[in-house]
Amino acid sequence: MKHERHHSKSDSKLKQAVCIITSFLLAVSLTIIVLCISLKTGFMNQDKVIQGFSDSGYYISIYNNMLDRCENEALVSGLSEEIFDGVFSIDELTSYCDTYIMSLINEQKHEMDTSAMETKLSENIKNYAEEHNLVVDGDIDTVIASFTSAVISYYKSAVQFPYFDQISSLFRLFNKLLTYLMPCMIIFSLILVILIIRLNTFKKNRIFRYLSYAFLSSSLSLLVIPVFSYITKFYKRLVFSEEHEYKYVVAYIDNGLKIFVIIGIVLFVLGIISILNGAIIKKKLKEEHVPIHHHHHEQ
Amino acid sequence: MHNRSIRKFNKMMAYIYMPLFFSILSYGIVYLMYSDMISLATNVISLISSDYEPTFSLSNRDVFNIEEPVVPSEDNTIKLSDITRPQFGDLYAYVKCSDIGLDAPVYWGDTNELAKLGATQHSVSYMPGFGGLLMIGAHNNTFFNCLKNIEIGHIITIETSYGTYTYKVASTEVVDVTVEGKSEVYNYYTDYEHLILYTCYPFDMLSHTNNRFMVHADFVSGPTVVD
Repeated sequence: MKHERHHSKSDSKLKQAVCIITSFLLAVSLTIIVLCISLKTGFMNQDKVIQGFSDSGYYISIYNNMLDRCENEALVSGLSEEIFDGVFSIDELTSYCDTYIMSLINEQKHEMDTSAMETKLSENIKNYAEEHNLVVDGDIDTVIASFTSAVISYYKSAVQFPYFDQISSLFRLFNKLLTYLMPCMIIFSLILVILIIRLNTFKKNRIFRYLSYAFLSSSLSLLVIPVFSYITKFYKRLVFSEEHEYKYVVAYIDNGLKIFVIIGIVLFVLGIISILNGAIIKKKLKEEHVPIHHHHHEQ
Repeated sequence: MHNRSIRKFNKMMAYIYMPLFFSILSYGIVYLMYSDMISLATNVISLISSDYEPTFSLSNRDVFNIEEPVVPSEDNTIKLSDITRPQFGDLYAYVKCSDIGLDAPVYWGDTNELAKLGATQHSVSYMPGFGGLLMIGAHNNTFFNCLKNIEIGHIITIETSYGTYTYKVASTEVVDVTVEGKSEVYNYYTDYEHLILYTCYPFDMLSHTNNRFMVHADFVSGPTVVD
């Protein structure tokens, strides 16, 4: 009898150890799943990339920056800032920026039609040269064409976010990884949940105990680094030569971290719900057992 | 009864220490697996970070229009300590020549941004009153377009917060800045006060140019800055 009791006690300890290991593995796989979801909805989300541009005032900044460079080019070439009247528009630049980003992410060809700008700019320069009796060394059309091509190259470089071709390849790699990793992790998690259920058929409250360990742990794992980053704001000390690039990167990181924090909180709430569920079930089980115990006692 | 409440407390605490243990364990495993990558990432971040948040706005102070202009002493000298020295990008003087209609603000420093606002002074050259070379430039289609009409003998004034300096045009010349051996034009280490106004040449021409139109003017009057 004593030997039997000892045997069942060691069985129960082994079962508990297996449950804890399963719960740990579930926590890891849940962390990977929510990490992927957070990245997909935050840092690796095409819409968020675009949203970051408008949140940071990126378009206005690069427009002004580009116009500044063009005006400098005009001034050293004997021209005035007025030659750019009606040549560029911020809406057009915004649309080109967005198209450039999307085409790189989706591996599509990107071409910019700047012919209308070039024509308008050439007209403006000709008019200005005539009005101010500017002397031209050589053929005026050649001089204008060389100036116009320099200006258009400023425009094109303004539209192209630096290093975005490398960044977009990261996006594609992540999307590929996601298609394999996510289903694997979901199946693995389901197996682990089933295992926990099977191991605790007679003590259902324990199912929720182990589930809550997993939820709370993955919530904690997910929240630590983003919350630390959010509090210290270390990314605000990153060095960028251009203000609009700095503002964009900060807004992008801010948006991405917010998603991490939100998903982490959701997981934490799920963990709390699991705890409460476990407590309710335990109470019910106790209530079901009390009359039998009473009866036994009376006997 | 006491044992039961302890057990209950331990079970409650498990909701804290078990997730904590799991998280520390998983972070530990990740760290052991990717410690090289993690240290590389932290090194890269520290490499591209500074101690402070960056500031991008270049504020141009106005040290010309200060509340209390400095008045020279009887021997026409000014103490160096009484002068507000301009910092890069500050407006500190006005260059004028009534004969040709020149009236431009002078900024300390030499950048494209400043050149849009007025004339710019190379920060390697001297301020007026220091007995050295002053080099002031501007675009030939904006502030210095009028230099095309300058003649020998014209009087150029530089107004600062510590006095007005007068210079007389001695000569003009056109210099190709790419030609070697022309560096004497830019000799900053003269032992006498001398003003050079320069701009692109030729005037009213649609092109980039390597030629500069230089106006050399000799010091006539103005308070001397002393230690």
